[in-house]
Amino acid sequence: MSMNRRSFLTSASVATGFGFPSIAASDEPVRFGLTPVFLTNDQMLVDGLRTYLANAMSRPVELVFRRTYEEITALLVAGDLDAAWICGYPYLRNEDKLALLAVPVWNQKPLYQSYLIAGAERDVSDLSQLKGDVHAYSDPDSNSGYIVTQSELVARDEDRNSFFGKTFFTFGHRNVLRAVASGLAQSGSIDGYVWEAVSATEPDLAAQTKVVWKSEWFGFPPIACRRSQLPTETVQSLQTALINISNTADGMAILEMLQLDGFTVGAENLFDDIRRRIEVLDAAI
Amino acid sequence: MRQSEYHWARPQSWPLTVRVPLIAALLLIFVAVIASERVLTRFSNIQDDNLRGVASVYLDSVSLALEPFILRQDIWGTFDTVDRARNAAGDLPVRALVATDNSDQIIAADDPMRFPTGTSAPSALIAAPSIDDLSLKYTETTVWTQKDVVYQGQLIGHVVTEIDVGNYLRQRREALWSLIIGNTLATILLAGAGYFLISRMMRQVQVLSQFMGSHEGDGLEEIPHSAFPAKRTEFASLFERYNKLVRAEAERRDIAQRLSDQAQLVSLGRLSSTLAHEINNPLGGLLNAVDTLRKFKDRPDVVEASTELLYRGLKNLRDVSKATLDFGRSNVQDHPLSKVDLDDLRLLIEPELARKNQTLDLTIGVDDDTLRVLPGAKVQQIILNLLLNGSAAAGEGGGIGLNVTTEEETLRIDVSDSGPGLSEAARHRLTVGSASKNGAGVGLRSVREITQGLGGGIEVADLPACGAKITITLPLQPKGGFVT
Repeated sequence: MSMNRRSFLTSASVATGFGFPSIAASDEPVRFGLTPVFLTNDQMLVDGLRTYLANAMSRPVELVFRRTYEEITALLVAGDLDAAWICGYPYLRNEDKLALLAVPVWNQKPLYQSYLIAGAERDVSDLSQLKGDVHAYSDPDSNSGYIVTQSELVARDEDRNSFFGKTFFTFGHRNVLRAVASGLAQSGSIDGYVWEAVSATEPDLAAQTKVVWKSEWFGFPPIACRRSQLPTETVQSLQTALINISNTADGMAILEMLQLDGFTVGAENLFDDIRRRIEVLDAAI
Repeated sequence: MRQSEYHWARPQSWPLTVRVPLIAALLLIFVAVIASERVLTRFSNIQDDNLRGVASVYLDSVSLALEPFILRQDIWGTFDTVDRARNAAGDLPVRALVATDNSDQIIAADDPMRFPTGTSAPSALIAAPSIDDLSLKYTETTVWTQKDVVYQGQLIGHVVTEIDVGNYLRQRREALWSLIIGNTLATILLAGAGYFLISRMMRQVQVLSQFMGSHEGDGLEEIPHSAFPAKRTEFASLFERYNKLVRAEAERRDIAQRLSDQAQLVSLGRLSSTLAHEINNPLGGLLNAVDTLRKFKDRPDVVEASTELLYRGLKNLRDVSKATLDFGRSNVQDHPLSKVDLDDLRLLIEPELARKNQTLDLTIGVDDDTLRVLPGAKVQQIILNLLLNGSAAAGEGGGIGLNVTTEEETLRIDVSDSGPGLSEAARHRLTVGSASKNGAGVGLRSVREITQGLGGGIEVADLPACGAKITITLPLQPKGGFVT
């Protein structure tokens, strides 16, 4: 009922301010892209998020999934998506075209770490001990799942291409965890937030791995939009819906599933640490 | 049919009531084994077909899903696919699922710890048969099989899977045990029923066999009606026919006995004329002696000589009449044979011999201890008949011989004569045939009857010069012995 009233009020205010075209625009679905940084294995979470956003924006919402960051980023830059939850690295790579819409808040901060994990039974406590491993990366465009480990190797004067015996991409942080837990990979590069979240939801799976090394803190993978689209009503209402997510019970349920505190409008310098990692890596190439 | 005749190690000696059901049971077991083998083979083939079918469908879909990942050597994609395919195997108990490239290097397996990525596939995987060659073995609870992954006609890798076939083997074992137990029970049941039925059938044979086997020379015994089968079966009529046979045999024996008695009377008849002659001859002398006594009663020397003559004449008459009486009485109650009986024969035959001026060459080479096991009257009758027959054949002035000896537990009686030899008819009567209708030849037939009755044998031989020799052999230890 409250949703109906809110949708009515929103429609009324928009109609008052900008005239009738926005009423027609409200029938167009908002296309929101998601990458595997997100816990895409939980269908309940996906449905809940879509429902919440649609209700909050009084518009249909289409959640768009792609296997890689690259694909989602390409769609976003090309204007096929209104917004997308991407990683800090592709955001910085496309900084001229993209703008920050919101940044998740985890443990009261919009920050996360990159973890290096290995099989729980292994007696290792540092990256240097992982030499020669079969190593699982998350995604070539993932900060925590690739860039940090690569740049760390460069920083340690290791050959980033031959340090590990064999490497492969799983295109999902949870998949890195699965790969290491199953023994497919001996070690892996993973988003620290995902590892902690899985530890809470699937403790048996996470318990088969252990964290070998933790990076410095980085800006949390952000929700970005095209810079040119930032002022539009669609993007603004999406931002409002995200920022206000903790104000509703449905939103709180989603946050609980995501194990996040909420969303905030991130500062531009939030990703400076990632930028430094990129610089280290770029220097080596 | 005594129990002691059986021996466990000689199946031929086992009774039919055991052998026949046993053979039936063995045949049943044989059939059951063959049938079970066929069933199990067919069952195994069905299981193999079933396993191949299920494995084929499974590996076809898995290889199709893996094709792009194997083509790109995508470790995670391959792992993710085999991991999900492993969990989606349905009824097929997949123990391992491994994807290898075309050089048998492992791209990914559902259990990377067991089959690490980037290592060479173990020989069990490389040697795994294709699905078409897949078959179960009783000794292996898991089997490996593989399928080639082909992209645009090029071999890009293999999908190899280990399947738990414990369930199939368990089904086989259960089928085997079901067959063993079922067949064993059926065999026992049928063998038991067969034993019961055949025993029932064979019981009649056993009865017949017992009654026939009881014949020890003393005649056959009729089967009492209480031992007849309840219903009018073939056995009942067989028993009936057997009893008729027994009765016929008894009648035959009775007739033979009567014939024997008749023969004795005939012998006596033949003797009577000579007896009269024998009595008559001394009577003249004796009467002369009496006359002499009357005339010379005052002359002691004449009286003594005449009295002595009378004594010897009367003694001779007494001996002749006693021997005749003994012979006539002997068919009533027999007595053990002794030398006296043989001596009596001389007395009986002598008048006949004297009448024909014949000589008797008699040799008795046995003692009473040997003879006493034989019945006196019967043997006497045999010899007397033969002697009378020989005397008749020898003719006026001829000679007959009697030689009684022992030879290896046998009494041998040779009676020879100087006659023209035994006619074919007489020879026939003595050995196999019957007496002629007019009673002639009763003596010889009687000889045969008595000899056979004593378990003896008869031989007829022509003497080299002339005449015939009849040899009677009588066993000196007849079954049961002679009891007076």
